[in-house]
Amino acid sequence: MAISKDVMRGFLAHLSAGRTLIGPVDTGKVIEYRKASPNEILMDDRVSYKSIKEFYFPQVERMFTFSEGEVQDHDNPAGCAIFGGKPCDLEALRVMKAVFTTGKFADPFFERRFDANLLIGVGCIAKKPGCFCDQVEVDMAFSDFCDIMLEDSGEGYNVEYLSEKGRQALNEYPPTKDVACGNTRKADPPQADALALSPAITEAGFFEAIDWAKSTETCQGCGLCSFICPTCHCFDFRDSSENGTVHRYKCWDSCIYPKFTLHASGHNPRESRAARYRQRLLHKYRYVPDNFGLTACTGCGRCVRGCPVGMDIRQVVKQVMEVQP
Amino acid sequence: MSTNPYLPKKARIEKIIQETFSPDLDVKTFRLKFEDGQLMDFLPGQFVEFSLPGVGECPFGFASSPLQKDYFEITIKRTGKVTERIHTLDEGASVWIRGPFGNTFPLEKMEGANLLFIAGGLGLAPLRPFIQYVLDDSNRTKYGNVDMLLAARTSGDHCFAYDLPVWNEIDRTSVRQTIDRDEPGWKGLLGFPHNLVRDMPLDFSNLYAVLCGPPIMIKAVQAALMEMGLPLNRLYTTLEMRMTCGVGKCGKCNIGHQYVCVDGPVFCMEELAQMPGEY
Repeated sequence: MAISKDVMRGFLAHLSAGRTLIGPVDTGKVIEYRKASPNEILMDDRVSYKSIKEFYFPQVERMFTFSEGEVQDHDNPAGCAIFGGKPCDLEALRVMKAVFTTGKFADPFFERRFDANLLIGVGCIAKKPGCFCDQVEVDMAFSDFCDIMLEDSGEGYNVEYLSEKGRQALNEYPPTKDVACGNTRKADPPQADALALSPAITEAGFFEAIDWAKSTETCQGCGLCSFICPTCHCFDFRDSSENGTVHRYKCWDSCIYPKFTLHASGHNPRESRAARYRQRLLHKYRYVPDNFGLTACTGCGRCVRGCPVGMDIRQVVKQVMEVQP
Repeated sequence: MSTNPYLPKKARIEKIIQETFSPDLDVKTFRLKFEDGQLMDFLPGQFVEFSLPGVGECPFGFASSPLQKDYFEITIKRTGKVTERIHTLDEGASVWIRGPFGNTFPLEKMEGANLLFIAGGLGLAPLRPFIQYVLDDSNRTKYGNVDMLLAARTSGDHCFAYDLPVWNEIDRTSVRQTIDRDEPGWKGLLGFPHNLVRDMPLDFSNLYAVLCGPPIMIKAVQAALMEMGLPLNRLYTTLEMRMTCGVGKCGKCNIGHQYVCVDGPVFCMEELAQMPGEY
């Protein structure tokens, strides 16, 4: 169903009565997702500096508190309505959900937020500098990994719901109550210049595939790429004491940092920066595909645009791809 | 909604055993019990995450028999920030534990075979649950000969010294101890396990070897055993990694696509040989 952007603002105003509304806002310095009023939210085609990941996996999240010899769990977080997740970010959330909720154990913090949040995706109209979603099989205009998907025509949106949660939310607001289900759309076929690593080469083979030190020598190890990446999901636990109580936090961490894998003995399985960069690249392009059948890079281009020394993961992936099995 | 695998439970230190006696190597065993009376149900090879609130959390392998249901033991070397503090605790102190995590030694697959355990220093700790399981009256007949070659730098560095004479008395079981350099009164062997293993009367036709110790020892012993004709698929070890979550989420302990905390810490050497050498 096609609706105007004004109707969408009306829908967001309706949603904001019961939920915290999150959307992209121009702060004057960057575009970022934050708590916003319906009128502040951007409805143009610009992309944010960071992704929507922090509303599912906050940079710092208190898990529980030790107090007077007991441990106290905390209440479930209230759900947010998140407007404007781009298809690359929605596909990244699919990766994160696979990591955090499949296997013998599930991460309850991600799970709670995933269940509580309402996610409204918005397709892109044009590729931005650095974007390469088309090379990793992500459709810039559409993803079904959300509750409601909006395809942006510039003037307005074509609205579809993709979950029962999405259907109910639209149904409660009269101008959008007749929106149809959109889960029948097929993904675009892969592109000829797809970035993907051959399953015919072993993991150990990729370690020797290129001169990693040479290919990554400009990397400064700052870890910015991990923090602005929508799929990077590694974390650490940190304790903080306040007046005899201790809070344990789950905090973003990065495999780019040398202490990430440092043992207490002093031994470090990834001593060089090249080994750490290799881990980050192979994790995205080989290990997550092996474990979950998904590529943990959705071509959002944030690391390409954001890297202070101009490292471009696409170039390194291409070098690795040139190696014949 | 899933249970929270990051949430620890309170346990009490029932007993502390000083394991080593040299000035620069301080190893203690902590005997623990959950305060709410819940039993720790684990299998050999698995590990726990051990917390001191405000200090931090670290992974440690179980060091006691899985058949001992009254308590569980964790053997800890004083090494870093958390272990320094753990070593200052007294009997009766409360600590926080979550687990068990990780895979196990292939107990059933090894039934009927002869077993060779080679450990260096504290490397005996994660093997002890396996050894005690095998040597228990209820299981002893399921396994063939059990031979152990246990190395430490000095006589004072041999962990579980109180177990070794007991184990050595058990039917079809032998314990050999070695130290790096001779000491007055030392009656055991001298030298490194990769040399000494060549002198052991082993039946390679149906043998599994389980190794744990410093990486350099594991590599040298592995090379010696392979040279003597033991195939890689008969060799097992258990790995250490920095493991924050213990449940395959935090991204710290992977070797290639495998996570040591869920796919390990026990690995067959044949499998390990296919993996990137990033450990």
